[in-house]
Amino acid sequence: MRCEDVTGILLEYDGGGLPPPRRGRVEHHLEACATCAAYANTYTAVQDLVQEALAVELSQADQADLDMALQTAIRRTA
Amino acid sequence: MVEDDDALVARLKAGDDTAFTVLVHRHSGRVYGIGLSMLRNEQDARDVVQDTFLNVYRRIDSFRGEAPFKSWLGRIATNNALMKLRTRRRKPEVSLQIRSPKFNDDGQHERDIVDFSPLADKISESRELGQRIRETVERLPDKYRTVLVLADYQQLSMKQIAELLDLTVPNVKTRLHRARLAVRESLADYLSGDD
Ligand SMILES: [Zn+2]
Repeated sequence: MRCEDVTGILLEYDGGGLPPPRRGRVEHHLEACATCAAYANTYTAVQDLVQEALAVELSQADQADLDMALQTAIRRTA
Repeated sequence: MVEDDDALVARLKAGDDTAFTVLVHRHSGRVYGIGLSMLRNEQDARDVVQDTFLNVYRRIDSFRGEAPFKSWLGRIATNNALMKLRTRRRKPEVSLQIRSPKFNDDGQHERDIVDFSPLADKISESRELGQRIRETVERLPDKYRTVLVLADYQQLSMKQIAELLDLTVPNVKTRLHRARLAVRESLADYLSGDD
């Protein structure tokens, strides 16, 4: 297996969706190739980083506006 | 003791609106995050938050508790964001080029790869890194960004995403893979000081 092939199936590998023979070949390559091992680590890290970075909070002012808007809308339909 | 979502939902179903307020405050950030990352616009994202919680209030009797409340809420938020994405006046995309790693003729990596994965544990300490990731995701073309947000932020399955977006599962996987590669390349440039 070449680096390019490994990169092409990282999604399946990471998601646990690769059947055993191919999974074994990927693992074998990752043990022998430090470049791909680093690449695979960062590919996985991107998922955690996105998960963390996109988590946001509403500002207090926005939260207060939201509470107000919801109350008004609910009262109107009650 | 903090009341869990199930208990709050039960109280809301019984007509106790104070439980609704607690649910809104607990989950508003998450819903806002879904709206913001999919729509790239704060006002649109705030609209998604409001619409979503109104939907929750009105449809709470149809929530049967088979999946966690959080998943049900996420699905409503996603649908609202997708609806807005399809109908609103479009903000011109300032698209990130979708880049993949380069390989030589033997299929080997052309460039050295720096392993920045330990940063994943430190992101909460680095505002700048968080900002960079948000900007990168924001600059992905819609069709890649949507899939990335649904998979890696919302943690939906490939099948769920395919159904939501009316795509095939292989199609979702291709887009997700390319989106991750593009974000990876952009982060690698940033961390190595190339950009
Ligand atoms: Zn390799």
